[in-house]
Amino acid sequence: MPSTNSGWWLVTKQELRVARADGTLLWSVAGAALFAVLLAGGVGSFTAADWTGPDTIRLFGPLLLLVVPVTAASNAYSAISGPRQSGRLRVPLSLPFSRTDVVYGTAIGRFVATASPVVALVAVALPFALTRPEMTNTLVAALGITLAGVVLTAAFCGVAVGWSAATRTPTRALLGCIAVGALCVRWWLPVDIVRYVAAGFAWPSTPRPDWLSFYGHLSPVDAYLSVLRATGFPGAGGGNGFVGVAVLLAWAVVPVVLGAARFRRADL
Amino acid sequence: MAAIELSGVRKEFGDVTALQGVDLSVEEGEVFGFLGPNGAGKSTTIDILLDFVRPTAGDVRVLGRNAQRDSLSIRDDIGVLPEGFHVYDRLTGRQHVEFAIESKGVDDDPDALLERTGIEPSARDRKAGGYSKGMQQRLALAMALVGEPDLIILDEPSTGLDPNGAREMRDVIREESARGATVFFSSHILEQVEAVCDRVGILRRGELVAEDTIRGLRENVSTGTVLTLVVSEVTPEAIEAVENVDGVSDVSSDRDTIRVHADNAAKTRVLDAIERTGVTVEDFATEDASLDEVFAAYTEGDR
Repeated sequence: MPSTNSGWWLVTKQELRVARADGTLLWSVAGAALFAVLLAGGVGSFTAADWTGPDTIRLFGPLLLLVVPVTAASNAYSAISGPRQSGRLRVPLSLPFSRTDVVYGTAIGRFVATASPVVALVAVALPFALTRPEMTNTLVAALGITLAGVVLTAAFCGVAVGWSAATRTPTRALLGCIAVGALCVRWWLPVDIVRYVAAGFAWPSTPRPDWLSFYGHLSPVDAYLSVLRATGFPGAGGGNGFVGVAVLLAWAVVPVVLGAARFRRADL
Repeated sequence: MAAIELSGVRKEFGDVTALQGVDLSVEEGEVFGFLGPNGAGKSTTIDILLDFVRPTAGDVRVLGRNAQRDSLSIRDDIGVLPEGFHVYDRLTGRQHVEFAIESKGVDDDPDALLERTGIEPSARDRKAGGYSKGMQQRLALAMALVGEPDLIILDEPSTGLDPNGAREMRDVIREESARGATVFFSSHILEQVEAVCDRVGILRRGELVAEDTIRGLRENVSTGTVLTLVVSEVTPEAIEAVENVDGVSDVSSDRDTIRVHADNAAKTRVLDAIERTGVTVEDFATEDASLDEVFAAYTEGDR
């Protein structure tokens, strides 16, 4: 009798069972909570009376931008290729799970496990921030950074699981993640290289054409900052919060779909 | 309906041809042993049945369904002990079986399955990463038995098992066969194959070189009979007389025993030849060629 549960959902539950059993879920949430206590509590003790709740919450904006990509990549780069190499993938694939179930279920499981400390970080910092002025703005800022942090986590988990599904070994998946990380740091580099080549191997003297401006909005970093700005975080730059969320969700979904498509065709 | 049917299955990994046009049919309810030396292509064949690997050419059907297109529905109805699997190190044995039960949407009792495959109650809630290889094999077998599958595919199931474990594995195979399940398993342990299989297939360098009952294979390879004779005394004349019998290929002796490797038809001539030299045959026994010899005949040399 076929299972009535969706295969991907059972794989997700199994991923979370493993994360709970090996302690990574507990320790990462506990670590994030402790960090939030130290930072949000510490800031409360050392700042002047005009330091507001949103100021406390906003401290986590740049922090998440630095930590989330690294954490997501390290949690997920071997999600498929590691078990594929060790033989553990033969266990679910001997059961009634499709390869797509395994990739999607694993991606969601890793996302939940990686996003949990992000949520814990803000949730623990919030009570400290609420002791400061601007309670409503504090709540808005907390919601905004939670949303931005969670979709940023989804984006980088998607990239890492996508690479992991598309490659045979964790090393190659890690190199893929590093390449995406480098691209995020130098987002315009590929465009500039194309322009350099098109100009006969000389740096063009004209600025980038306006129609290329959409490319800037496709960067996960830019998208994350757009979401933050839309919820009241200060900072220069354009970008719409909804577009930012959509871009980050695309980064979460497209690599996983592409990785799953390649994984479906592969000999294990 | 055949439980497993391969027609012209070919698999190439780059320049290496792992399978070259394998045709194989395993009937429902059979216990089929799949033999072959290392690198013969047994695991590749099983991987193709499980859709871990796609054939370069040919048609593969499992339980009447296309092994690639209908892989998911096939795995609802089969149990698998794969080769080279790795357990979830941090999950317990019981959690592994519960995962298999959840995946098939059945309500089997994990304890009953673990009991059946010989995992002690005290080990069931221990992390499977700490299990010995033999215990991990037992655990994988318990997972394979979930949902009373119509077909059970076991890839080298005896790996890491002690003699008791191997015997228990044979008992499980017999019980499943008695229930009506088809069992397809590869093994290097020929006694195990001989003990439980209705038929065997022998794969060599990616080709199926034999597919028959063990009796049929023995008859085909004509490795003859080993005749062990207890005699009143071993004399050079008696040995010479036996060596001169037509159909005798090898003679050896010790204190009061002569061992003769001969064609089936030569047995009585051997007895006559010994007694004509004045030596009395006090007892004798015959044994068929061992499965080892049959296996060697099919997998070595130019056959």
